[in-house]
Amino acid sequence: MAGKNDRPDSRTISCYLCEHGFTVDAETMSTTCPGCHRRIVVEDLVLKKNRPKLVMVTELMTCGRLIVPKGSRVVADVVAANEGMEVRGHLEARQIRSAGLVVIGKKAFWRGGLQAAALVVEDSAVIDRGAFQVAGAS
Amino acid sequence: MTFEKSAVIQGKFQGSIAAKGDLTIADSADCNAEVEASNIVVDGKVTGNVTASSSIKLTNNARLVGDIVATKLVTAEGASLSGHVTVGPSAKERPKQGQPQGQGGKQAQAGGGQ
Repeated sequence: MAGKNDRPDSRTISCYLCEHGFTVDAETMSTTCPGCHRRIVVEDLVLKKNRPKLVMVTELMTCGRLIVPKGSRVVADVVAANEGMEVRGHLEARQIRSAGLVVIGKKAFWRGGLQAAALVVEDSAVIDRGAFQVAGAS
Repeated sequence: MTFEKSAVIQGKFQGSIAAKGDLTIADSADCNAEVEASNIVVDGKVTGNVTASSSIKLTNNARLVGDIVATKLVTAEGASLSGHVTVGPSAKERPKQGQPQGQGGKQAQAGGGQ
């Protein structure tokens, strides 16, 4: 979830590359991290249902959330979504990480290692294989 | 420990559990065991591999360090988990991680209720 801030039109994010925390406008889609000076994606990545059906990329990373709807398929090397993930379609990656809540929905297909703060797996999800590290409530 | 029906672990347990029925590991439990049962509910702390022929449920209080193999998995937000996870209708047919093919699966032990 986006961090609360005094200004309602801004949010606090943390860089998925260096974990540096900073504030951006709520409308910001991408920016340069003041910590590592690299270009980062800030907006939520929401795949459209069945369009495109398959996304094959090396890296799919954002400071926001990643939504993979039913019918969509993502194959990547690294997937990172700092504010959380909702997977209802197919997600396959070598390394998947999030500092937020990861939801593996009903009938979703998952293959790959996960590092996350919290995880919800719904009934009938398929996890093909993967090393999971879920911190849970401390 | 082997049993035919259901059981609830509420204290400390060390060893292995093989059950045909349902197993609940209560929030007060601390299990250091290889666990195999039909339906498993983890509400406490488990260190060891957990295999369910049907389903595994991790509540928000669950702390699991070990591999999971199950047909179905349901986890609540707040559960902590560290290990390899294989879930699906064909999960039990796959060889376990790091285990050579053909050695998977414990011999089922009958009787000896608890």
